[in-house]
Amino acid sequence: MLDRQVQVHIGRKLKAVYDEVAAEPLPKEILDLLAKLEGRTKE
Amino acid sequence: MKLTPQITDEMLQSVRSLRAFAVSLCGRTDLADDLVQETIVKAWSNLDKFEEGTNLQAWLFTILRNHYYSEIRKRRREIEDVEGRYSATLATHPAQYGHLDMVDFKAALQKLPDDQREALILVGASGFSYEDAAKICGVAIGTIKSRVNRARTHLAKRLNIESTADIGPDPTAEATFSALRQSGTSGKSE
Repeated sequence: MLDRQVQVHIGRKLKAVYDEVAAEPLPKEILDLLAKLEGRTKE
Repeated sequence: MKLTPQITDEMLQSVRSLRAFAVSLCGRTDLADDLVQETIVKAWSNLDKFEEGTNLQAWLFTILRNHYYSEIRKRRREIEDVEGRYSATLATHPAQYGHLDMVDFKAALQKLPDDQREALILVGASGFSYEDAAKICGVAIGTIKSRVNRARTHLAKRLNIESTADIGPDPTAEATFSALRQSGTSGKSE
């Protein structure tokens, strides 16, 4: 097993990489698709 | 299951995390965006198969993961073959990332075997329980646990941070560690 501090260190880096992508603006194609989905829900 | 405002809301809330997972699988954003779109369309047309009361986010991740392995991975190889003919050294992702430390970490992450990387990301970044991660990957919980452990060990080796002394000073980390020590996780007290 790895040192707890090493695990924490890796965990923080991993989360930073992931959150960086999750914070990016969504591309237009995906936004359009989601808008369609929302429109369909209201029908 | 019909498309209700609640389901749509949950889908909207999941989509950013879903895309981050897609990028981690594909290693490139163009294919990841295709993958997310195709996942939404698939989920939408298969809503009748979703069991109410179960985890919608886990269901979406399962669809995305299956679609990646059945379709997108092939597409990725084809694209990379074509690109490889233009330039053997074509860099597909590092360019925009600033911090050298982060570049190294991303490179090490991409070098992990697929099964270890996805397990580590589902548990360590997407925030799924071991149980949900096991369902998403279609394996036993014990398998996910051992993949996560192996992934961490590989990363630590590649980044040369196998012991605390290798990490270097970091005020935030230090604060976290001393909080952990004070919470008495070692079982020893004075």
